[in-house]
Amino acid sequence: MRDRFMPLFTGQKPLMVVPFILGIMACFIVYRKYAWVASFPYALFIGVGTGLSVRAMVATDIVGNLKAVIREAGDIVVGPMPSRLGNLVRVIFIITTMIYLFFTLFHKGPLSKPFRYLMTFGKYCFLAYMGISVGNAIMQISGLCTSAINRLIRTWLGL
Amino acid sequence: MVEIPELKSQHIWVVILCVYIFTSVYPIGVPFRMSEATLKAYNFIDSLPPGSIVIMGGSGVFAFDLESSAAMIAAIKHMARKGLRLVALPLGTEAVQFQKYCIDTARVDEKYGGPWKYGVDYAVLPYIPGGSAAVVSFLTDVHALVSTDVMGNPISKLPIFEDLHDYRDIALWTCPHWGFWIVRYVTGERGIPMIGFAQAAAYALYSVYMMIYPDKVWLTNGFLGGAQYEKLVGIKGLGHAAMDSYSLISIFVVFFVILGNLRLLSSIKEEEEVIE
Repeated sequence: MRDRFMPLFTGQKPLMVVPFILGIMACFIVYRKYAWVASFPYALFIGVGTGLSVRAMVATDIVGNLKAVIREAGDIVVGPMPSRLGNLVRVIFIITTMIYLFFTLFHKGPLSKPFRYLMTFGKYCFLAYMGISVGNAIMQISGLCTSAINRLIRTWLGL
Repeated sequence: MVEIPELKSQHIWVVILCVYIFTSVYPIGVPFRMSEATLKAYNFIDSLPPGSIVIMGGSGVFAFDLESSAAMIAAIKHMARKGLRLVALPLGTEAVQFQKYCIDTARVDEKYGGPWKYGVDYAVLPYIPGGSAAVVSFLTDVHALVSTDVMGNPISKLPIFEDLHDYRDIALWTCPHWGFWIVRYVTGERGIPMIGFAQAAAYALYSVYMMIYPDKVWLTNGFLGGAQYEKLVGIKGLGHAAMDSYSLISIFVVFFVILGNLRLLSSIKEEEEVIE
């Protein structure tokens, strides 16, 4: 309180009046009649949060992922054989999974049959990922059970 | 011919429980492979110069984060041995208790005979709400975001904060949690290396960040990663106990699957004989 409110009154940090007012406005959420007042600070909170998230998500999860796949595709032709093979598998799995997830409509034409094979392969790649996720989740729950029993036995019972 | 008894689920659970208790009381130390990512994470912490500031940022639900604690505790021990400094930044409501638990369990404070002194070598900040906004603010200006530690001491009076002002003072960010979104701001925007002590279920989801930022982001995989880090540090903790139970239970699961299938086959045969 001392660090946050005193600079406001002594004039050291006059801009702190902005979050102060917004904070008071946010409290109006509990009064049904004046709840609309709180919508302004909440809109600001959501806007800031969304802006920050989208900015970082695009740079990391979309552009970063694309760059990583392109880099790994380039690494297929260089380096030791096991890592080249690993990169090849990863790139094929990513591309076929993307094909499966994005092109969900029925395809007609001369390429429909090979395209369907690719989609089926992508489906299995996706299922493999799901399998890894589920397997890891089971490992997690099993480990948490161990930690709970470990604590029960060692900390509480002192064995 | 020996008749296979009917396999009731209660029997399976009792056996599984016995295995959990047995491995907790008598750790058998099953062998496991060292992961390259864990080794790289260990080597990176090892290469940091003494006095470097590490942030333990993130964590949310204590019950789930307990899995991350295996590697986090071992890493804190490692940091203390190397003379690094640690600032705990709780970004979840239960994170304060969890991060304090990790530091206390690592026994690195001088009151436990460890090398760290509170305020000088490590500090715990209060819960900071806001998620992404809190992380971005912390990286921009630590002193503007937070004014006291979790016990109410002004951070201006804690020596560790004399050297921590913004992201440029941070040598490494560690995240003992499921939500690894922090990497977007810490590594993606500020270029700070990051080690995530991920939970097993999160590992499959977030390991892609190791591809996006090779040699800047490393993840350990749940209790297995914890056991690996414990092995590198030379301790046997929760990670080792969990690995013992994983391995033994996996053997029993295979055994029960075979037994269940044999029982099913024999019951089909019995039914066929009855029909005839």
